[in-house]
Amino acid sequence: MFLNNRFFHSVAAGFTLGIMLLASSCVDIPDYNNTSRDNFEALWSIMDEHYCFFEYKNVDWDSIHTVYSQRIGNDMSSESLFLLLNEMLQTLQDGHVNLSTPFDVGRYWKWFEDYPANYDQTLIDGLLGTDYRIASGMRYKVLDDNIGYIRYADFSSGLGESNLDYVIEAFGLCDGIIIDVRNNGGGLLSNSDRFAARFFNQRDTVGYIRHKTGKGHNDFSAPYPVSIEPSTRLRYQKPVIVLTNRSCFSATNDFVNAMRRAPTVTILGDKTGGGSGLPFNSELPNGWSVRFSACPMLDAAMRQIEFGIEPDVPVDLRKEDLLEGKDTMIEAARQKIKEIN
Amino acid sequence: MFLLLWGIILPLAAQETEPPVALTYQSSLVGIGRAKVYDSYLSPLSYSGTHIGFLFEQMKQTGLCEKKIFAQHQLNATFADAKNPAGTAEDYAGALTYNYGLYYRFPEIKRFQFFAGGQIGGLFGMLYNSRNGNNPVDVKADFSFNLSGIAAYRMQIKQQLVNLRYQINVLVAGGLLSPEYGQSYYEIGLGEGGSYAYFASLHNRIAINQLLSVEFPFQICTLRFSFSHRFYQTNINDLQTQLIDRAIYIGLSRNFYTVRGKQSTSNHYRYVFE
Repeated sequence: MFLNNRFFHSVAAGFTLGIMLLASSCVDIPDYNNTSRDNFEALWSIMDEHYCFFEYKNVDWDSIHTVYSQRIGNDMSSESLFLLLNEMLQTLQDGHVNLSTPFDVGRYWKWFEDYPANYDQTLIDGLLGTDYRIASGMRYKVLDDNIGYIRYADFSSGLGESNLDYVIEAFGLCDGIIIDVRNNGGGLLSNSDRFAARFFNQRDTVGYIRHKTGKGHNDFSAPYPVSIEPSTRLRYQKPVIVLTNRSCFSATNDFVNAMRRAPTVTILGDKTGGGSGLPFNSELPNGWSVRFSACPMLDAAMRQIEFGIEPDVPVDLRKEDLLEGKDTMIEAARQKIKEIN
Repeated sequence: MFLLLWGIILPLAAQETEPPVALTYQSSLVGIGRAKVYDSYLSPLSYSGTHIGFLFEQMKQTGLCEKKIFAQHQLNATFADAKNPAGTAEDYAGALTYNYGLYYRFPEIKRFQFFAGGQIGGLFGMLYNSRNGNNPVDVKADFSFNLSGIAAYRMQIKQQLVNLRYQINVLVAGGLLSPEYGQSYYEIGLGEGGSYAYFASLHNRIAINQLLSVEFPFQICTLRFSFSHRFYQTNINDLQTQLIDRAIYIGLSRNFYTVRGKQSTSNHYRYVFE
């Protein structure tokens, strides 16, 4: 008979082999329950395996586990657990680290809370008046002394190529441009790159990016260059001042990092807030979300910019000017453009 | 003959000396069931939810090995909507799988039929997590050589003919695409170099698809019910994926032949599963 016992034995052996392969499954899914202990362990492991600044910030994450593990109780309320987990995350001193719950968002904001604001919205509103133009996320106007002013408050706001065409064309006869990105907390890196491309005349490597290649704290890929390609559309050639303060974070930090290499650009104001780790998201068994820095971005000299970028011209907002309705930093920028010209 | 002939007019003037006409088996089904989705690039938690799918099968005799070799096309489109254990986030998983297989049909034993062979095929799919910002998507693309077997049995319950069939596909070797462990799609978008293609075999990918089907031939159609169980698991660059779905499919089957050149005058037909 064609289908003899050997055939059936072979089939049985095949199935057995298949079952053994399944049993020795190469995927190890964490078995978390929704308890305080498991939520703590899940959060600690997520950060342990994915966070990218342990060594740079000299954080001993194992000792953090030892300290906070002892404070986890089985009957903790959600609020108590949140406070403890958020306190643990604060040790990372990272504005990109957030624990989001239905009742609160854990955050580290000392990168701007501990410094002068260097920004007053009423001064901006007074400067722009009511006859300014709006191009998607940008408000812009030609000031009395023939200097163009752009207020861009959020890199998440739309920034299309045609928007930039119109804005640059409107400032074609101006002596220079002030780009005010103070209090801009970031957004899309693609917007940052698109905006910066209007001020470069040749390709330039403005920084590098790395990513984790494994769970070890120092498992990183080789730095990969991040370059700005000059826009093939309208490019601005006259002096440009970028206004910064401590609330320039994340994609805005990236924008400032690129713009400081553009040939006609001066960075003026306060140090930026930093935030150079491209954030990833994850979650805890109880459904809370956690955001964390996953891919470090470096400047053109391969230095960390996680804690901010110093301006070329440091200027603070003076109280005396504030009382007179003047923005010290904008006035300094106008003066700088006149000096350059 | 236990399966219904569809869509053709059979020649009535039979010639006993003509060889039997080889019919093509074809079936289309839709299904619904449960899915379990785990992808460590997106979340450390396993998601579960609803699976829906479409399955198309076609199988016919070839002229190879004295017509003992059969060719099969399998196309499977699936979609899953799964939630995390707390119900606060969703994963959407979509995939399109195609396999082309060649099978040797062993001689029938007491209404049992066995086919054994291999397939080549591929999968293209995507997992999307609604909550993630810079890591919202994990694209799945792989191709493979599969071992496959089919067992079929026909029986009669009272006056009703019933055809049972079981098929198993085991992915053996091939390749797949994967980002590195913590690589963002922003970096990939920059054109970052590196190897995204990896050799895949049982050491880093275990994938088994099983299909248990029962068919009821009626006068006007052949009704098919199938239970599908698919297990797909990979571990590349410490990125782990496990997709499991179990679903009930329902659809229609038919047997037909395509006329090319001179039409056969035979009224004898050879079915794929007879």
